[in-house]
Amino acid sequence: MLWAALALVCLLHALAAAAPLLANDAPLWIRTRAGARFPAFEALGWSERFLLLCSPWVLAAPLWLATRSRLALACPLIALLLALCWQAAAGPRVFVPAGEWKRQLGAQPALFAPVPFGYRETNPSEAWRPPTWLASAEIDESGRYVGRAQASGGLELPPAPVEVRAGEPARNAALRHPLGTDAQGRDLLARVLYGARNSLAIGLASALLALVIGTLLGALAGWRGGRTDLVISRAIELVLCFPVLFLVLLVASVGWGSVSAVWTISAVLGLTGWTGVARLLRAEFLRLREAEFVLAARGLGFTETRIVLCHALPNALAPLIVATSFFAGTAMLVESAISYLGAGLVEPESSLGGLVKGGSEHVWMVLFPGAVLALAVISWNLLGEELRDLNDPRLSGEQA
Amino acid sequence: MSPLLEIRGLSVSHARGARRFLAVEELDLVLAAGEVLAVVGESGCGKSTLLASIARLFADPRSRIESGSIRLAGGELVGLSEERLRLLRGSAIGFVFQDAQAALNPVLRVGAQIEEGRRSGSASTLELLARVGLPEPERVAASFPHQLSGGMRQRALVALALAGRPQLLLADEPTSALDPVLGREILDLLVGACRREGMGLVLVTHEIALALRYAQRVAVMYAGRIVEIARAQELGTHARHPYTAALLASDPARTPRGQRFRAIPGAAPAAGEPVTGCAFAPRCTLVREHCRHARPPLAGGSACFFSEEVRP
Repeated sequence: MLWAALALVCLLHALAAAAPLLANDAPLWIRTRAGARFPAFEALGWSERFLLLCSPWVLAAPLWLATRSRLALACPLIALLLALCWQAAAGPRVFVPAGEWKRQLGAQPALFAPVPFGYRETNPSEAWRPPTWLASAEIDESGRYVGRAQASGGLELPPAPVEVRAGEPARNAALRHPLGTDAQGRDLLARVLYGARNSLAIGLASALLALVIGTLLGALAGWRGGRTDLVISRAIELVLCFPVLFLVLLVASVGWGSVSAVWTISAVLGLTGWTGVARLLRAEFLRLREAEFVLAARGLGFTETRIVLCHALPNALAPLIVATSFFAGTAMLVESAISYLGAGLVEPESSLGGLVKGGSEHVWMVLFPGAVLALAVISWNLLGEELRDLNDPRLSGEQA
Repeated sequence: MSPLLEIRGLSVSHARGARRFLAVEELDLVLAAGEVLAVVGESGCGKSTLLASIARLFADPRSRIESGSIRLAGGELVGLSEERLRLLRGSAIGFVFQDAQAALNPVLRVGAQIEEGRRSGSASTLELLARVGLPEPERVAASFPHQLSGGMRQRALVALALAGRPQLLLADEPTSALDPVLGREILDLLVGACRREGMGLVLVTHEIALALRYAQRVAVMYAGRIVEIARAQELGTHARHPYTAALLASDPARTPRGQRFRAIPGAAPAAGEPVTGCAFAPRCTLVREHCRHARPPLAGGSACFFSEEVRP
């Protein structure tokens, strides 16, 4: 069960990190007269390259956790190094309008991503198309739905022939738009993938931020006690009083210069969400401070820092991990709520909550993003619960 | 040559609310290298406090040494900075705690904990575990404390105390969490280790029988003071303080079969309760009017005005 939950979380994050490789309107590789080109990679920044290089490592995380290999911990650093080298070797970032590559492409050989649609690539003739494996999505040459009664309302656009671009499946192929399209004919699968990427990034980043701040302040309050505890406890109560949703709405709608909304939302969620972790760790440390093994560690002449980090903290790890992983799930839900209210990520950036909002009258627009969001939140919660049991050797069932 | 441990006029106070009271008063004690000294007394008599004050390892951070001097191999410990004292803990002064279940970190493997306590020149972790009589040291080292039996845990705790190669070992009731047979095994181990490595051992216990069996000298504490200190054989046969005599009489092992052992009537003065005269006077069978007004000094090994009259 633990490994299933871990594998699920890792799989979701690996898919999200590798999104540019999985869904892209720019071809991964083309042969031109001047030689080979890799248009999909030319548009990436260094952080996207880093994430891309990390994704196999994340996917293999259950394996290296099982083998407890120390080398595995160096992998993100190696990925970072490679990404920087790659960035240095690559030319300047090329910005090509969405779908432009496919329009320009002639007959030369090209390799496309499994989903050959960009999350910003519009196709007005295919607006609100249901999942193409359904019979109701079948379209004839002139763009009319075959199996559906004609125009009911006055606002519907007149049917136009569907434009099939280079590298795309045929007009009525079952896998053309497996999850359907939105109001501008954008492929929902690509948008869900990139929406999940943003949501997972917000969940992870805000949880890590909350973990770091909460651990520092909670440990300080619990271990020092006295006046330090008094000050930090009051700070926790103060932060708890913030109406987080409104604060995030405010910050997300005002923005922070050119910083992506993903990071501003993560920062606000992390800066307001550390109180849970801090209170847990404070309580744990108040208990551990009095523990006899701490006195024994002192009797062995260990420094206070060492006792806190190597003896007390491992004993408080279980609730921390559980809290962090629940927080990651909750943060994703909050982000979705904000995007649903229309103040989170702005179009054409995709977010799971925004997708639901943008198509709430069509069942596929609610079902698929909602299912992915639920899956991500549930897998985080499952992982938290399983890790809690793992981290408590008293529950591991091993007996001498 | 100076003794390994020399305590002069030590007074230690605990805090209770805003008030302070003395748990150890004007205490003198000397321990030679390689010697085993037992400190006996009932709960609350200050014997654990005495032990904690040597390495200034109080459970309550508000406890403090009020006056006196503690010298370890000639070096003064009272007034030493916390950092300097920390360097002595583990390497010069080793601790064996009462409850191995609580004193071992539950989430770290036993081997890792001992490894962490080792100093340069110490024996290897596996050798330490083998030395304390643990079979299959590899398996024990890879176990978490909860996976071991109580006796194995206590042995591991002894190995942990020996890991830093201390000159002085302080054992705070190392056997009271164990059954009598296991307790004797642990004490055999501790005393044997001291003899082999020339360590001094201060053994705190409330069982006078154990003290007489394992220690060369025994100090009897009552209400924060030593009331009698003597060689173990002498103390066992010729107690010179009524409290020692009462303790010996209350020991079931020394009571002949078929006879009821004699519990000491009354209770020791509560912590912080003002005492005038001899603290044992209210419970003493030999008490005279003089005892209630003047405090008998520790002279010739016994703090009693009428030590000649004590009959075992």
